[in-house]
Amino acid sequence: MTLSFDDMLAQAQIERHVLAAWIEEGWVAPARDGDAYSFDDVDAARVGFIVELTRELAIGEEAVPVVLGLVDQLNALHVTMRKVLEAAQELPEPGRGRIAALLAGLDQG
Amino acid sequence: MKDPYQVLGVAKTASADDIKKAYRKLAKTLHPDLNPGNAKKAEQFSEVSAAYDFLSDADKRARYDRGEIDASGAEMRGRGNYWSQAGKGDAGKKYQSGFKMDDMFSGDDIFSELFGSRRGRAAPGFQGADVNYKLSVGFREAALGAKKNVRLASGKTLDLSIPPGTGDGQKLRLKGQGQPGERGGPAGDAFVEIKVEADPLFTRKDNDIHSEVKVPLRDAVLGGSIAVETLNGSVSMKVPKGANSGTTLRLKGKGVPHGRKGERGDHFVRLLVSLPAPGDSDESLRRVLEDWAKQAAK
Repeated sequence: MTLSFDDMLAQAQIERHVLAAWIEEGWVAPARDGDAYSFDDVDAARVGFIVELTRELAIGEEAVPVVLGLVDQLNALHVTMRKVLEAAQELPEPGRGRIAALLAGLDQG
Repeated sequence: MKDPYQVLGVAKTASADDIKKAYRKLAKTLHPDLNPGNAKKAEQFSEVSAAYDFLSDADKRARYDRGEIDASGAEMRGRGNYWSQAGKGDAGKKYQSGFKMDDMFSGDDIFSELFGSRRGRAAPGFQGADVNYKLSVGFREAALGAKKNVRLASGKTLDLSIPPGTGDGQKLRLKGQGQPGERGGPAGDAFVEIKVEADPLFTRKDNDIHSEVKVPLRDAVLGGSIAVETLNGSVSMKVPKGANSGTTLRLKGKGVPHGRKGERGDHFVRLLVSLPAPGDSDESLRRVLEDWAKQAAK
């Protein structure tokens, strides 16, 4: 499901110029067709996250890109990690067992 | 739900501002999008935010304080929505940064190091599988050590050094001669299980050799020197006077070499007293024995 710019404003309960600024800053990157934006689920959730950061957690505007940058890296790392573990699952023994043993060792250490 | 004041860690007298501060402080450490995948923190966060929603409503707070309502009306808001969206893989891809699969093996991040694509340093990679072989080795070769030519499954032949003192069933490891590794990982090892063939003369117990040797009656009775076959060829062994069948004599240090300093086990020789072959026996021996028998009968 996608939201128009106005739908997005209504859902997030933010001012027009605020959302425009976020797009300008690149904090959120909705698809654009001419002048019309469309926010997909990820975009909408990201707007919600920025709202929580700025409004509820009182993260200053200056700090938001830092937080977003770290969260983006963290999410990418999670996805990559999952792929690595999936790849590891494809391995024949003893490779798989060895990885499991090494990871178990990391947890304990 | 629990007492919302306790959840936020504030006094009942706390101002609206104090409550907000307490909530922010907790939310910054517990927010699910800042702790992706951490279910425990996500649960704590939803408790904290429900408590905050409840107490930041001045009307609800006042009625709770007067004991008119409990906190069960506090709604648990689902959060961490961004994480669950962005973590879906392709959908959230445009916001993910820093760790692209394409770059993973190209040498610029933690993974290339892990899989050893460019930085060459200690790269565990994936080790190839180990392979097992069996090899029959002569008794003396195993005891004294030998060089054997082994043909591996890969078609490669290599010289296998059988160390002195190798025992039956012992496995020799050929490091790196197993299946090749993956992604730059080291090859597996080849294990060669040694089967030691039996020997017509010798048996082996740990590092000692046991054998039997025939002693002519004359040498057994009178004492003498006989030739004994050992691992290192024939040696001369002294037989004491009156040695009987079954007597075991020890040849010190003639057994199986073992250890780095070249220590050796012993060779135990069990004597079997033997009569001269029929027809070969001289008349004089028979006469001696007849006399001896008569003496003994008295």
